[in-house]
Amino acid sequence: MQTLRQRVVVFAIAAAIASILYAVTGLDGLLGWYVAFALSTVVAVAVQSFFTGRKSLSDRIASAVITIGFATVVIPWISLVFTVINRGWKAIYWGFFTHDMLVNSMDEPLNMGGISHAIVGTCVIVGVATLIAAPLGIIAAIYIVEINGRAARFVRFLTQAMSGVPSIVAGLFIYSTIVIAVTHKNNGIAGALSLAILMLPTVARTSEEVLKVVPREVRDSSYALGATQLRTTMRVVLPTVRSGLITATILGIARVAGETAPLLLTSQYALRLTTNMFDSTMASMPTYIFGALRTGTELSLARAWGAAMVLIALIVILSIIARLFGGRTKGRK
Amino acid sequence: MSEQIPAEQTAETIVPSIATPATPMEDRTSRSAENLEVNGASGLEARGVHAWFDKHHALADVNLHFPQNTVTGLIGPSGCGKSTFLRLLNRMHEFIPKSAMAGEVLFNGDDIYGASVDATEIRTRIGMVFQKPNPFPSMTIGENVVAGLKLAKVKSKDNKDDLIEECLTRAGLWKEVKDRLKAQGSSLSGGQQQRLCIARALALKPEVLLLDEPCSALDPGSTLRVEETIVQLSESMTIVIVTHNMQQAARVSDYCAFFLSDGGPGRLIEADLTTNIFSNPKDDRTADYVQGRFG
Amino acid sequence: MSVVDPAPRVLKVSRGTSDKVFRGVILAGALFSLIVLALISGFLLYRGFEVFKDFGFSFFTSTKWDAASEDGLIPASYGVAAMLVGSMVIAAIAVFVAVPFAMSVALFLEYYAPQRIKSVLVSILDLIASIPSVIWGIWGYTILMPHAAGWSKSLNHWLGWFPLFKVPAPIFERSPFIAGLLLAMMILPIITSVAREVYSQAPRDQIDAAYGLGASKWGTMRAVVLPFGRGGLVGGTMLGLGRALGETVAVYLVLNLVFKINFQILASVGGNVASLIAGRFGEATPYELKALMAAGLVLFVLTLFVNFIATAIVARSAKGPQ
Repeated sequence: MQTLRQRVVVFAIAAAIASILYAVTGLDGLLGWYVAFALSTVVAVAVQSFFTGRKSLSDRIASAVITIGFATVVIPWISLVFTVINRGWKAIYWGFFTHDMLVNSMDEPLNMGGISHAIVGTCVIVGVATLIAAPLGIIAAIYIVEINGRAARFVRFLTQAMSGVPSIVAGLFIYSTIVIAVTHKNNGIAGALSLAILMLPTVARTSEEVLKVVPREVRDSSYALGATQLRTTMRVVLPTVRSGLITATILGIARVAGETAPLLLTSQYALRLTTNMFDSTMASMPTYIFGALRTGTELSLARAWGAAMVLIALIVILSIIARLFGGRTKGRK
Repeated sequence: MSEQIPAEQTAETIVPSIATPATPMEDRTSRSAENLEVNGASGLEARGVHAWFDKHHALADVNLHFPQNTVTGLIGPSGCGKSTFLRLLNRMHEFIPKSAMAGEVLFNGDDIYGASVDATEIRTRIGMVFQKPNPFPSMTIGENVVAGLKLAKVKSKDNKDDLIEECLTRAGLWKEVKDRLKAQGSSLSGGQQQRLCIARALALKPEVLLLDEPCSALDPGSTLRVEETIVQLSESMTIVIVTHNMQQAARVSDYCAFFLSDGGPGRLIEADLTTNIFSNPKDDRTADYVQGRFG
Repeated sequence: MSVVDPAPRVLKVSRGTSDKVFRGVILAGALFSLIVLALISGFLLYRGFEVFKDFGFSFFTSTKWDAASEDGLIPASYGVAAMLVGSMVIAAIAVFVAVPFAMSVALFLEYYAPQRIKSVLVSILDLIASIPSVIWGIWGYTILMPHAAGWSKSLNHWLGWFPLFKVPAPIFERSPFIAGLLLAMMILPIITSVAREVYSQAPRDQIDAAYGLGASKWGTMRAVVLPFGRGGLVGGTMLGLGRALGETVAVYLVLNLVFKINFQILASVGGNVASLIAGRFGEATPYELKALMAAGLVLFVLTLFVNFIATAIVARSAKGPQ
């Protein structure tokens, strides 16, 4: 095992070599320096293990490469989070959450207008999608695990196939059916339906896993007491996994809250805050961000970052809640 | 004499250690037909019972009568159909896909596999306790005890709390949990959980109680307490217990039924008073088994 | 003892009415997903049928995407070849870049990371996986693209002799390369999660045996973990591929729609089917809309196929090495 001092020495040498390479060969940009640094680290590690015994050469190089690979991956993540916060906070002010864009355009100063319509729109659209998709997903899971009929494998296969539907295709489908044929207009309901298609497989798959954890004996005991399958499922099995099912639902919500493509075709965008899902288009967080981005001015971009910040915060909070619920499934010691 | 006191004890109930029991459980091998109460021929009886798992013939031609208010132990090496037979007695075998049976199981004179019989109703009168203790995770201890009433939609004239106390007392658990009826079932030890499961089965006031290796997941101290409970319960109901443990069979059962499979379906080799099975069995294979020559 | 065994009575669980109703309801709900899938393919086919009929096989081979001329003299001509190839090129780049890094991260998390921070890192990985594509898109457009354009320039400078890296003009923004790079970051969490699952299930006893024979950590991983995880890695990669093929917004933001089959990944030429649909949807004529439906059907079938293979591979590998 290397001591801290040895590691620092290695990195320092690598950094030095990299800087020299950078200056000499004109490998330009941040990436150039980083690549040089990575290569030098590997070389330095290799050289170092020469002194500590050749047997560990490949091992040392491998662990250096793997660690560098990991570190490289983390960099864009840090960049993303940093950029969102750095560029987004400018747009945040109290009114950001209470105003919509009815009277202001994307290009106006940042203390005017806001995303209230987008927030409410996302809540409404995702909420309705959840009301449709969550029960259906849980029912599918109940069928697969509890009833386990002859069609169970088929249903499972279908649910997995559904999870591969590209989001734009889901939007296109709802457009081609509901919007064209039924309602003849783009509205919030269409958006909700397209999100429900994307949400159902996630809820079904997580619910299935949660139901499978219930031990066989629990069901057997219920039957041995003279219960029907209906009562066993509703009064014993489902209460046992209640928090797991909530987790499954929240994970489904987090999955679709940021979907843009299907909404571009269905609920599209609106300037004002509305909860009417049937008569007009409806704003949502992702379409707001998309629209602000397309406008392309500095101010609108700042709005986009601000909204992005709010959206990420929302999804992170949902994920944390889901995790908290998932860790407290009843029956575990 | 060293007495080891298991952790779950209270002051009022001291369980003797296995090594040197202070008050040994009565060894039922000494009971004879005379000092057993046998009330008539009704009760539970299996006639010509076979069982299949899909095409696999698991159990062949079992004829066995369970005298009322006695304990019958089903013994034999693993894999010879004892648990399968047990599950045929309360119509749990049919939950396995593509399962099949033949023969009759008479309960108070009527075949429980008759065409018009409601299986869920049978199960309220023939109860079962499983190998792994499994209180319902979403319910408290008190709710677990009366869960059967809710699940089987059985109307009980008794006051709920009285019923809970009665069942837990009969299961030998009341003193230990009476102050924490609102706690989760999973907070109990393994032995306590199993006694909770017994109390749960008792709440429906079954005439027969089937136990499938109820102590195999428990430590010796808990095992003895469950065995005591079983013996006490047999004063008011018929009990059938599957067990791998011959000493347990000797301690607990009035009758024993020895099952064996020779590679084909399991068969009932011999059934008799426990006394006779252990001291002079009629069949050589029974003798070999109870003397530990195989198992 | 009977000489002849009696005929077995197959037992059917007798169910009361409440159970029959219950099971019926559950079955109906479960089959709903079947209905939806069938409807998706059905409706896209129905609406796009005219286009398939008019163009036949050339829908798949033509790169033209032109609406009919104003005077109606020149008919519309639609073909997804350019976009289909574009989808595959971008996805291929994404997979090519993502997989080695995904392996690194998975191995790091399972075998190199200190236990204390491992669960934190795994949680972070899951959170990153849930970042919406529009946010990746905005970051890709504003932050990644300028840098990546610079890298493309260098690549072209040093490796421009290789056909893949030639460019017709020295413009490096909005290339398939950049889109692929962005997609790589988006699909990495999926591949990593699956790989990590598989690597964590590598048989402990074989690992111990390898160590016992004096192998180093890397030697053990090469001998036991990597072969064991191969199936899972492939499955996870295909899942990521499926996601990459269908990605819309991020690609739309960093790539212009140019209808040419292009393998010069550093050039500003490309597109994919998903962003085609999103891009042309707003102003499409009714006929073009049908063509978009047809394109959507093609994309749907393609991703369905890839996901199906992926699931099969992951399921097989979960049973252990064959």
